[in-house]
Amino acid sequence: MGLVAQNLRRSRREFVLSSFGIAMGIASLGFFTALALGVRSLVLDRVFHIDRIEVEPARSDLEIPLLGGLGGSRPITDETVAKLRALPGVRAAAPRMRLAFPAKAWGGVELLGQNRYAEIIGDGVDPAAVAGESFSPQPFADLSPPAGAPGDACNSDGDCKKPGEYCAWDVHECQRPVPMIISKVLLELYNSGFARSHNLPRVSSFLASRFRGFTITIELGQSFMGARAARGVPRQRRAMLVGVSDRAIPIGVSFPLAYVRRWNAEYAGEAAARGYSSVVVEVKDQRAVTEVAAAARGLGLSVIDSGAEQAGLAITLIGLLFVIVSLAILAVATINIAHTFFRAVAERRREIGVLRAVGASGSDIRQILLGEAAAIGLCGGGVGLAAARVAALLCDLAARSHVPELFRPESFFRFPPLLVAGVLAFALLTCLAGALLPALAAARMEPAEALAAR
Amino acid sequence: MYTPPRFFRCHLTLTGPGRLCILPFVSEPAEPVVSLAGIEKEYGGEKVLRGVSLELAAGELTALVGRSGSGKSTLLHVIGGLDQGYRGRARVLGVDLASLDDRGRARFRNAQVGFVFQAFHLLEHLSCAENVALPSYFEGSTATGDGAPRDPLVRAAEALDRVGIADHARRLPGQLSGGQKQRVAIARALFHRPPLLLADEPTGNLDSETGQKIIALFQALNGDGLTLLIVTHEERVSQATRRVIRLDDGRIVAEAGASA
Repeated sequence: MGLVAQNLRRSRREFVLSSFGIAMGIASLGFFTALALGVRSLVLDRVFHIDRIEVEPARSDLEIPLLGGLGGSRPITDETVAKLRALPGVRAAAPRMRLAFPAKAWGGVELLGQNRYAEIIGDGVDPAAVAGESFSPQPFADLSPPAGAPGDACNSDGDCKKPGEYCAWDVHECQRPVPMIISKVLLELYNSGFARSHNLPRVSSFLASRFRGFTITIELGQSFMGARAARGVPRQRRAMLVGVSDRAIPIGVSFPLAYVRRWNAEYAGEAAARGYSSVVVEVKDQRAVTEVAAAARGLGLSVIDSGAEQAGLAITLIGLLFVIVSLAILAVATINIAHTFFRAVAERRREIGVLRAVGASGSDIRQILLGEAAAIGLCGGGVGLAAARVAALLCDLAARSHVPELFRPESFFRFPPLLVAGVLAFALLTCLAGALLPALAAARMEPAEALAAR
Repeated sequence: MYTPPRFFRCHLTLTGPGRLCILPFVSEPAEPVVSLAGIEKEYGGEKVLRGVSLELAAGELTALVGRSGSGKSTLLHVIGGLDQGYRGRARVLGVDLASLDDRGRARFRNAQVGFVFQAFHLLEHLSCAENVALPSYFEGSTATGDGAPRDPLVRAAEALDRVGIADHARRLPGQLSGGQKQRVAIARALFHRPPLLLADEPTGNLDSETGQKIIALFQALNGDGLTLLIVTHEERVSQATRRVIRLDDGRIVAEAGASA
């Protein structure tokens, strides 16, 4: 160790230059591997939720939409949901029911200065699926009075005594607003498109949390386009945003399942209220996804392709590409190390002879040279990793002003201990590989010949 | 496991800042320190040594003389275990060198033989003390000697003191004169207190006055019981030895002086 340290001190310039190549390669390798790990984790865990699959009724090959479907697809029943819940590896199965009739909404004057109008795309979500998430100022649950027990009547001014209630004019009855949740995807679409084009304020996670309690008016049974439900009388209700959840429909709004079931029965018929449009199945371990998907197919369901597999594959491939580039840099660095050490052995030939004369064996000489290479590898690896961390920090800082806040993680990079250890080990092995041939050549050198060198 | 034989033991030692052996004598004189029989060596098809046989007894101060290219240095390297691939039998300090593997030869050079070279061969980036302590990096369990201090730099200081330049311990070789460099090289050769010292043209790079001092130092070391074999082509060096072996064209052609 002492001799290795002395030799490194003496050949500081060569040492730094050799380390630089390794540091560059390791920085590149560490940076891109950490980025691939971080982005993969972000995309698969937070955007696509790789531990979940959504299943829907299987469509028949003979189904022809224009003819209304010869084979048709049967909606998912409670019995099927129970079977899904009973599958091995399944943690939970939450049914969803789409709104099966036209509806529209307006509101926002308090926030946006003027009302905005939109058709409603929405569905019903089982409140059990969002249990554990925080909602306010009222829960995400069926808040309607029980059947046969109507709410309080509105007073003569059209107001309600109980705070948080509004007057439903059609029945002149005080009701609590229908709880409503939206997804981050919808918020981001608003931020990146709607807000920008209409010169409206962007909504951050913080603001979104402050918007809880924001209400809109919904009209069930007819749309702005003139479409009208096949049955039922259109009526207006108040809906209240109670939270942002990744279990909400990505583009649209989600209501508690019980509301949608009742509305579908009223405006689209009992059949539309009996079956579910899809079920979100959560698995205990993401490795069980394939088996659960196969079992769901066995129940006559089809798995909605979320694109997670393709996204994961794309990220892996891009990461692999960068890793290959990094490996190429390291290969060049290894050749540089080999060249440096071959030159060092040639220049230190007589010195090697002296060491042999005072008692060094060939194996000692080999160990000294490999020790120097290991020091270069560890230093270069350490510097490279530090550079990768700094570059990652800078990228995360830059991302704060360029990447949508709602999808932005704390960091796009992951440096797990295994990666750090692996990259350092790789730097070490790379340098050892580069120095091996020169070290072997030096070890084989005859002491007398080495001493005779000029 | 190779156990080096001890031909000299110090039977009375004065201790103090250093250690001074005042009563050395041979305890096992039966076997010569160096015993060569029919050594032949060739480089690239050209014979450098042609059947050299010689014996050196313990405590001898011998000069190996001859023209340039006569095979002196090669013979020295064979004796010191620096060169292999020779024919014949080389037995040094009771060890048949051909029986040793690379590690065994390294241990042998480390503990039993000291080398001094014409060009000093000091490592310029190390201080004098570090140069002297260089053998300590490779020492095995056999190398430290009886009661020797364990700290290599302390031992290096002792060796430097022995050759008279203890106050230069922290200097770099580049700051020393030729004579001082050679003394550092001798101190390095003596670091492990070896029984045999091999010197290859030790005064070749020195002026005559400095060379004379080095010769005197060798004589003093020999007086302490060290066996020395000095390769030289300088008359004044060979005159200072008790035995002179002349080599020509790889053969011993003349010998003067008696074995001790």
